[in-house]
Amino acid sequence: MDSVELLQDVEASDELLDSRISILEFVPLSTIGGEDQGGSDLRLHTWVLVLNTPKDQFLVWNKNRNSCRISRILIACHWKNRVASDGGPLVALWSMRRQLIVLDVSTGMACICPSPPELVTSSSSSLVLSTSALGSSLDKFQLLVVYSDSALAPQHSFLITSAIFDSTTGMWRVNSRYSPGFTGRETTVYGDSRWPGYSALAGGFLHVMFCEPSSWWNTPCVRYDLERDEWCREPVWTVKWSQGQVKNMRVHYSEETWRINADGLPQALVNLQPPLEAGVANITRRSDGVFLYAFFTCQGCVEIVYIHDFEAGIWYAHRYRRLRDLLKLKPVKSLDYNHGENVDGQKWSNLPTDLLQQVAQLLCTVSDIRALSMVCHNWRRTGQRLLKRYQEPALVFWNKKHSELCLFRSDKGWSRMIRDKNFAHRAPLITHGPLLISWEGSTLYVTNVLKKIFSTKQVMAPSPEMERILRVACISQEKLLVIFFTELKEVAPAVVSFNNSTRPQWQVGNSRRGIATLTPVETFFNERRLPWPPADESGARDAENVILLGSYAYFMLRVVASQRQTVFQYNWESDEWVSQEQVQTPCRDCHDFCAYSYQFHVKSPLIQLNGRPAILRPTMEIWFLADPGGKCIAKIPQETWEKLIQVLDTSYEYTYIWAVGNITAPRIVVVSVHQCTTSVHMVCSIRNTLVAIIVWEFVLGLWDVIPYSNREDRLWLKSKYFAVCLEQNSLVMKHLLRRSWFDFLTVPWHLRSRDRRFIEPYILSRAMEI
Amino acid sequence: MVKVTLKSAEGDVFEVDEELALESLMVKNMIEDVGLDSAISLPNVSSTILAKVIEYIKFHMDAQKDGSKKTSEEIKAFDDDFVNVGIPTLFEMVLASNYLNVKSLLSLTCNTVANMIKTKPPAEVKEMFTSAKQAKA
Repeated sequence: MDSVELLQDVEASDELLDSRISILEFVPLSTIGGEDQGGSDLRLHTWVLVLNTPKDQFLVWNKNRNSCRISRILIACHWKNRVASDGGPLVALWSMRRQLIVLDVSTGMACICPSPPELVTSSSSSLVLSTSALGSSLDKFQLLVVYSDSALAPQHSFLITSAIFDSTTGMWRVNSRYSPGFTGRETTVYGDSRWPGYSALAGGFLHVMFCEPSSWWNTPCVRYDLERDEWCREPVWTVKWSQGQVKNMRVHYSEETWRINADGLPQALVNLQPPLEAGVANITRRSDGVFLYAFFTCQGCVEIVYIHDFEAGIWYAHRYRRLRDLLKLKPVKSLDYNHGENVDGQKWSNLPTDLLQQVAQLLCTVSDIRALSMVCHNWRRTGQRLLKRYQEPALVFWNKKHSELCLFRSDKGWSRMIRDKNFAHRAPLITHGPLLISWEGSTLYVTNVLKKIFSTKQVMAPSPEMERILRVACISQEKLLVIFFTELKEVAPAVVSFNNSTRPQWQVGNSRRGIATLTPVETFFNERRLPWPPADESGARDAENVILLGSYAYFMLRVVASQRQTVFQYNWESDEWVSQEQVQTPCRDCHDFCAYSYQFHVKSPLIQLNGRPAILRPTMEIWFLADPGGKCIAKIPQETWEKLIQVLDTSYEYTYIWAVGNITAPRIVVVSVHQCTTSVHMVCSIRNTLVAIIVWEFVLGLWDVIPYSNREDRLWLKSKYFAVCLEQNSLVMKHLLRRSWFDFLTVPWHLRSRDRRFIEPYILSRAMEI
Repeated sequence: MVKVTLKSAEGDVFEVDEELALESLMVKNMIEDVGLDSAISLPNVSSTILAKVIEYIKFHMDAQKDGSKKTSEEIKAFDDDFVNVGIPTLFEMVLASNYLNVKSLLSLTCNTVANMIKTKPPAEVKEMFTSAKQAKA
């Protein structure tokens, strides 16, 4: 192992107090499962405060030692996802270069360890659940890396691999096991969101919770016995509250403490008055062994804290605020007690944010909400999703509590639109004028009239072809282009028309009687005698490559075997596939680029951009399409593309590509997003973090890096909350927690970390008047 | 009738019925923890506001009793009159109801604040909040 001097003793100097220092993360070194906002760890264990200094250094602050050290080595750590500790001084970190580093915060020393032999960290299907360092010093320690591989896991189970590294032998011991099987209901697959939202190390067990978006507290959980080296399913207790309401409550506990109450929850706890929303309980024991704390969360904040006195065998219930006062603890980051602040940081209201939110929920018009939000820069938790377009602003909020999609329309009040618990958080949402469209599975939700939701399930006859909607594009306010997967694993487009003037009536494809008959794309082409590309060997045709430009919809089929791709144009005005274009790609390019295909697990290789140049990426090349005819005007050369590959970090899970500028001077904007799920905190599980923005200056022929802000920030970024706004020719990044970035937003934004697990960066339309 | 002693931020003591005090979940929790032997200190609530909160709870408790002759119009008139106060006082009542965890009062006061925000431009909304803060300061 290479031992490096990682930290040096440096007192916190004025330099470090520079205003440009930004807090990256608090890392509780011993957390069985702290409250999600990170401010309610009442156990007074060691905290490490990691600051991002202007010189790309880390300032590590050890709370117990009250000492500061500066890391001279740039370690771009994915803290929340990759950090865990059993309370000792060792912290395991993953660097941006995928190096596994063990850091001793007490001595400032670190060592680099080899990665687990079977862990392919660059694979998008592999997800590191937890990285823990066990031991008291770098002389002798153990590393526990737990990761899963979605590609290898059969349905309803998870292949979890635990790799234990012994520093004395320098060897890894790898054990792969399928997790206990779960029922389908519990493991509803929502893309990659099926994977754990957090894991926690406690009491000799690694607890891994598999997050199910709509009811995360009911999600299955497994635990790994470090001593026995085996996985087992963690029990779930059902608590009958005194009000008669039954809720499953996940209790994380340490084996040592729970032996006392091995039969289940203490009766005293059962009989206690429950908090408003008993979500998660984290039970642990204080170091003196006297108290057992149970944190009950209520909408992201600790509402009631139950304290158990072991000696007396009594449970106490405390209001969190009062307990905090009693213990004279000040939460580090408790959004509940943040007050509204001005841009300059001056408080402008004595109402805390949660009360402001409560007030805002009583407002019924967009203009009122905007008026309040414009003065409330510290907005946290009002709306999760925001879409505003055209002349009819609309705000769409996801109400997680009731699993509803709430729609705000100007001067129409708000209304709960979708009461479907199966409606996933990640359900896509697009707008077209007043239309709001979302889909989930084979159900299409469309509304252009308040309080009306149309579901294809309700109005369409069962269609065997329609297995899963891949993409929906708005052709007009009464016509949609639906791309879906058929049972034959083929891709088929269908044009869905509806007329809501009288009653919902759908017309699909060429049907004249409104009967739901989806016409596969092959039928389209066969009828029109258009050439059909030869079947590819893999049988997979990339159907997400749909682009709308002008009056045309481009539907691109990629044929891997023949190294060529076909672009079809569909004119929705004439309801015809009017032309097709084939582009030959040399095999050489294909082979060159296919090696990088895994890096660009791009959800939307074709990006719709109204009235602007757009990008077509048939294989791994980037083509520009001009507006409106769809003529390919330029192609990024191979060497440029390779340079992009080199610049981008391979660990980015999502990469978004936009074309900006105009046709004569187009620019490529690549936004890479790194998945960052927490492993330390119990609840907080933030998925995406903006890490880099790289711009290709087409005219200059150079790649440029968009600075994160006007300040001297680094290329990679660690930010919790952000939004991506593509406004006309400029890409605007909006960090929603930093006031300077938040200023751009004029609407409330729902920022509860718990709900933002599955949030991806949004492309916001141009904001209304600011 | 068991009495509960509440102590405001200024140190003023309010002696109320236990039934009334239990309407506040916060006070209820305090009573369960520390009992009725000592006065329950409410350092975040001023005497003026605490008196109003007690008045509100008392009125609504009486209105909800079986023999009550209060009509819904009377209750609404009381509520309207109750929140017909200045913005600083209203905000203090919001904070107090939130602190004391009196749901109905919190809903009433937040509704009132929301109604005041409606149709106002952002500048006026900000002025409203700022004036409330300055008044408290």
